[in-house]
Amino acid sequence: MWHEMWSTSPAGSAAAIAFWTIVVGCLCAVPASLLGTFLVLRRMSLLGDAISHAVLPGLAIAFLLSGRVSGWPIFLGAVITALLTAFLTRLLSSTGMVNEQAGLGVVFTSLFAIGVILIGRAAENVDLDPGCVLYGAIEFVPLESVRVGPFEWPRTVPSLALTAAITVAFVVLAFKELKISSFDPGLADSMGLSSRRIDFVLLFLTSIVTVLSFEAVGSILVIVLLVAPGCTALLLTDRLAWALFLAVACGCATSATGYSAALATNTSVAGMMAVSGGVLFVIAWAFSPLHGRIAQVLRKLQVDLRIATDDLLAYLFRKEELRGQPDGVEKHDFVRHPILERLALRRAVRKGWIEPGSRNLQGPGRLTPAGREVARSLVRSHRLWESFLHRDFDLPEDHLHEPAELAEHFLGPDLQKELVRELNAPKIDPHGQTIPGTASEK
Amino acid sequence: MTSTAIRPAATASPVDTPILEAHNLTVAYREKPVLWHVDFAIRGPSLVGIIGPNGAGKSTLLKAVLGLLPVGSGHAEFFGQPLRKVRNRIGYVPQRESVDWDFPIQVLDVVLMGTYGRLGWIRRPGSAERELARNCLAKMGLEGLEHRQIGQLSGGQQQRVFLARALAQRADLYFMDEPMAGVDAATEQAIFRILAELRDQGKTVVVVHHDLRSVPERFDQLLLINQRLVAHGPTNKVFTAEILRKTYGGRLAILDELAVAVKTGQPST
Repeated sequence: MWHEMWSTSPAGSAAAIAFWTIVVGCLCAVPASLLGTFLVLRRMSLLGDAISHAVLPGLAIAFLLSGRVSGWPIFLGAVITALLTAFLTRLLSSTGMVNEQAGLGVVFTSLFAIGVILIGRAAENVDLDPGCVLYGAIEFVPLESVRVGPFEWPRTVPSLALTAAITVAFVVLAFKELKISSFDPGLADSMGLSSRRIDFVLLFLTSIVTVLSFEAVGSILVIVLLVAPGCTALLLTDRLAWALFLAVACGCATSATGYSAALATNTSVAGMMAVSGGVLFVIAWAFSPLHGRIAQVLRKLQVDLRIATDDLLAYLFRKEELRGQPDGVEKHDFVRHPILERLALRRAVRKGWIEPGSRNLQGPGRLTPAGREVARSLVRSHRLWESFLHRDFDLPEDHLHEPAELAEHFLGPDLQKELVRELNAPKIDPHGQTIPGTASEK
Repeated sequence: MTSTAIRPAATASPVDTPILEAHNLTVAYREKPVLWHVDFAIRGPSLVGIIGPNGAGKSTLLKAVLGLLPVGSGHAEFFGQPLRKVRNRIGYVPQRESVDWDFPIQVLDVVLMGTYGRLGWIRRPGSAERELARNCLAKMGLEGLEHRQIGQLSGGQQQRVFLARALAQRADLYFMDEPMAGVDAATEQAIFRILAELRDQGKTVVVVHHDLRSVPERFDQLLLINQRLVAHGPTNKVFTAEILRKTYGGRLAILDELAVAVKTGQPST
């Protein structure tokens, strides 16, 4: 099959069409996701959108001058208008009258409008299908081929491959400069690593990628490839280099899964690719172990469970203190969320802090010696904190319990020691209760 | 401290060449000047405080001197030379709020950025730079945090990361924009101790500072600014109630008034 793919005309078979469509998708995805990650980090992600609209007058003028709808003049016209967009935006924002985002909005819509008028007035007989502009025609990309070297390639592949290679080389070589100028442009400039120069290259490459991909995959898809993989990758990692790898992987996955989904549902390939870019983002948003929603909820539950267990142990400790003898858990001891309390009880038993009899709330489940130590430390933290608040914040006695109830779960041995030193080793808290000592000094 | 013995030896350049000289510097935002004809020369290793009210142009002065803002007229010289010739001898700590702390970058990487200027374009930091960055982190008491994402640090720790990065720049002249903003008292002390150490090694540190109460014991000389240079000189000469009132235009808060009165030993008027 490989032999067949490379030797026959690209349009030769269904497999070849599938292969080349995915290749073209990936060749757009690689540079777009790399550049897009930086655009997202620099809060410039609108740029791709703006450029893809603003190139229209460039396309129109190039067509009027050359009389052709494809080829170098069109490409050049598009790139020049793309750069003009960036330049005009800078010029506008440097007057200090409008901010950069608003400037961009004004410039690209105006240029787009000029483009629409130009095309409407002067090129009425050109077939400019709005569908093609929005969604491109990636399905037909393999159908037009050129001969480069010994092989025939789809027409867009060589230029896309070259752009992808240049972009990868730029990101690898100037990784350090991209990093510093994205994170701290002031420092970069003060060091002579001009962030403007990096900005310009980033902008230039983004223009070329947008224009090339625009032809191949349409204006909507190119925005998806510029924005979505970067956003998805940044949910998954805290390291820039990894974010770039993941963005590229995500961009290619977008292209491949989008194509398969389009085949399966018999819909637009570019549209499906855009959908799959969105789906990947939602998956990362929900399931990322780092910044994902589910991981966040689980982490919060974990803390809640620990606090509930702590409260249970401290409660039992106080009960013992009051009655002068060990006492078990009773049903009415549960004041908070019943499920959470039950889980906390189970956890305390599993950890060996409470005698197993209490598992089903039948029979007395008392603190084990280990559990008593944990509880002693908690109550110690609680009363030390109350003493500290009473002395340093001058709070009345009835305002002390609540903040201490929160703080006790987070005061470790080192902070306890510091509090003891600060308070000159108090024995009694503001309510007149004994502050329990540490395990060694009891 | 042996600083007085060290200082003359550590200045390689002739004693009369100022470390930093601003000639008639004027900076305008949208036609409206925010700094007028600022003219001063800083000599000798020194800890220099820039103080003045909000909107007086303190940060603007730093940025203008460093070429980060277009200058209307005038110019600045460093060690008697223009900026582009001596960039690697100059370190900069921007305001903490000027960067995005959610950026996907770890503590050690931020400190490594201090070495980028010396490396120049394209060349990458190697093991020597990593070693230096680790040492600088240790110096600021941040061992063990190398691989934390920077957003997970406290405000004081973030500021110390910036200081560690400045140390990694190994500059002779530092500009720091409010390095004490949002840090606790212990961190502020630690930072000032490091700054004094740098001064004792023959370096000059120019610090935009907000807290008038800690000025007298911290800085050797002061630049008092309110859109123009109100006064420049040794702290004990210019940190007077009169000059401060001139700088702050009668806008001195009651607590500051009192603090100044206590520090200068004269009752407030």
